[in-house]
Amino acid sequence: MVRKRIIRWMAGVVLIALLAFTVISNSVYQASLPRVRTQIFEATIGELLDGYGLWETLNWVPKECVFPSGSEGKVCLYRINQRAGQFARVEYCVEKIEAPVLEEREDAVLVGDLYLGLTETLVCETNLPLMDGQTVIWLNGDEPDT
Amino acid sequence: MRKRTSVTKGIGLFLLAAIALGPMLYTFINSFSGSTAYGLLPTTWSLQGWKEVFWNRPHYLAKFWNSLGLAVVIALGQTLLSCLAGYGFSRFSFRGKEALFFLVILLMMMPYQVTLVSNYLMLDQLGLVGSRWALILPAVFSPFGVFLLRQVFDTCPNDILEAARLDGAGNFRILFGILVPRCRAGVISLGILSFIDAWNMVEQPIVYLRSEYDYPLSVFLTRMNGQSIGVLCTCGVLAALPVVLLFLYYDQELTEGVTLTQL
Repeated sequence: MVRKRIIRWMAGVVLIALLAFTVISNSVYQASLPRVRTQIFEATIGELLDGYGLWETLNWVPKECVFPSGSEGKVCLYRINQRAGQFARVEYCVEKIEAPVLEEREDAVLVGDLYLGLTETLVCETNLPLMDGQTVIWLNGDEPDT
Repeated sequence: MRKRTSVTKGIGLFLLAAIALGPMLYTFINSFSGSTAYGLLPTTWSLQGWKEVFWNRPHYLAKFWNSLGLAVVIALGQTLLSCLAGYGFSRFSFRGKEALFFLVILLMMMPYQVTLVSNYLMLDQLGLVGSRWALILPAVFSPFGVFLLRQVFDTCPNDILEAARLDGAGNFRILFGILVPRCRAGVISLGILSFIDAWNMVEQPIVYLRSEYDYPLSVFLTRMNGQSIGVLCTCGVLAALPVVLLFLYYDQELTEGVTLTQL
């Protein structure tokens, strides 16, 4: 009976400890995720590239929404996507796009790429550096246009 | 001669215990590994695995709670329903009883994969695929529990129940007031065995659930590729913890229950 009482206490302590660690690790993880704000940009249609159905899309993107790229003449854009989560049913992640700079003005750059859509939801504000595929906390509120 | 026999027996039992406990001990020791290579002992010792599982990311503990919730609900549900069905088979006479019990035994012996597709179609018709009820409902209606508890309830002498009936006790009172307390070991054994079965299930969540968010720890462990040895083994320790505690608490009842039913 003493043994059972000890094991019962141990099990109770273990469960409470696991519950505490779940709450703490969730807070630690959520605090480590970048917080991002996005803006929606409308594209213009550029050249027809293959003479059939492949169009270049051109976007004037404000300079606060472009990030430095490792390649010359290119900038990084981060598109926000939704995916099925491990710890939540839906989680938001960023997708990195490297696009060439076609023109530059004081407050914006013109980027042209095959993979930019007619409407893009791009990250313009982040509190931590971003990586491709990283989970983020999306602060805007309405559903991203993915 | 007698001393040599007992020494030989002791060595044999020690070896068997080492084979049974060895993997668990190996997992526990390697949870403190800081390297990527498996070995009998870690080449570098580190608490990084424990920190990753219990502090840095909540994913592992979230899966643990998924598993615990499912296993507790399934164990309780299966035990309750098996008590009712086992009592019916043990104490009532009705037409087709033996044929029905034969079907129960037949279902019990079938591998799970045989009924997988038909279960999926039925659950899809009910609109339950993708929800946790798709795991709970088929598991709760288990033929093994019915078989086990029928055998257990058969060991209780009938005159006790007749005396209770004469005193005005109804069927539920007889079942939960007399039979279940008398056959406590068998009922607890069923609860523990169904908990362990539900804790370890892998195929059913993969087939019936659509979101990784709902996956239990058993499935999550199979998909942890590319993780460090420390993290993998720490998750193994986490997965073993409830089962070990349950066994330590109910070991006497489990032994009695298994002996009683001659399983």
